[in-house]
Amino acid sequence: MSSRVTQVWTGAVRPEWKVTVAGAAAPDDASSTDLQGAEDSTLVRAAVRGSREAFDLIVERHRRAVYQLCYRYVAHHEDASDLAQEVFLRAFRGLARFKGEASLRTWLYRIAVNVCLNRVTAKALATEPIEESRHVDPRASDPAAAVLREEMRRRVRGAIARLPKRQRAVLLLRVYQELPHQEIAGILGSSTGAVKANFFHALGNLKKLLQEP
Amino acid sequence: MKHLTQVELVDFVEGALPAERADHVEACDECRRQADDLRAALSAAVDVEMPEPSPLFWNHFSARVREAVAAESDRRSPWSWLWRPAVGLPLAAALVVLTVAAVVWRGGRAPAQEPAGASAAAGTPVSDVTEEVALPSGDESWDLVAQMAAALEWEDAEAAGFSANPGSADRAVLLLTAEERAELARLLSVEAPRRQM
Repeated sequence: MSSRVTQVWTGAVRPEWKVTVAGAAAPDDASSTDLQGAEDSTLVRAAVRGSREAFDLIVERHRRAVYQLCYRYVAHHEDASDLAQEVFLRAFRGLARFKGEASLRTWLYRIAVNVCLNRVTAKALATEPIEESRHVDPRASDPAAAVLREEMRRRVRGAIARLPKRQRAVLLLRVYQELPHQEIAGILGSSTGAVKANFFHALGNLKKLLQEP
Repeated sequence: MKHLTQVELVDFVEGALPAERADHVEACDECRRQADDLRAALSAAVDVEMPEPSPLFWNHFSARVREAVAAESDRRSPWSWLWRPAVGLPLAAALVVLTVAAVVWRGGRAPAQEPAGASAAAGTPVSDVTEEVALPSGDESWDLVAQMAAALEWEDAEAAGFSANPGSADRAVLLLTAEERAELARLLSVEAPRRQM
């Protein structure tokens, strides 16, 4: 059984960011070259002091993870891009309030979840064109199977879009961002037990929705 | 043995449940069915791949964020920091104190700035003397001071340690008309013997 679980998790897309939090303070006159290898907390301090280069580096480090989370919500490239931009703009506005109690990534995810939950409606999600469905390769060894698999993915996306907001947030953060339950609890302002219960219900509801004709 | 809770089922599917509880699933059809359902849903969700944007997209994205941040900075007023509660509230309190202080100070200075003979020439009656002082109209702070002072007797004020500034009595006398001075002299002549008693 554990081998099946392992197989399931290795199929997930692994994020490519590197999280580095806390550490020695950067000197006030740190140049952009110095900032390249700086830790997130150092970049935050520099950005709060007005360094645009530091904020650029924050964006560069976390843009992919934030975009992916937004994309999982809207399943549309342009909308995900707009949402991710809004996330970073809000982060810029509130950067001085970031105290480093959680990692910068967790803080950005918290903003992203709020932005997505406020902007995205289930109706909009269900009607969004799914870009991947356009790319079934006719040269695949079994094109028919590929079409069926793509159809199944489309149905799963539609089912996830119909999940209650909190269950959807937990599912996306756990399955696609691969965050530990504890970190998800920090993002959603909840307890670890509540997050696991939400995950349980999310998977249960997903199965029910997939069984609908 | 007790069935697994929702939290335990999630832990079981993720391989994080302690062995003594995980063993229960082997012997319990209900818990095994629930665990299989969770796994099936999880497997379906994991199978939904994430399309990777083109490498050019990321530079374009960063440029868009940079522009948005620059526009945000431009929109911010150079005085926007004044509206932060940590700065604005103490500053507002300080301004109120300064305003009251300025009003009181002006109240004491204004009569001296009037030409000495102006009031006399105009024949201003006694009751209008205070109007010579440029009092702010509609100033709540001054109104408060005026209300508090209205009920104050000179004797009480003197006993409490209040006194006029040096020279202010002389300046006040200079502002009086001949008629007012005569009335003042009369009052003093009545009051002086009482004080000496």
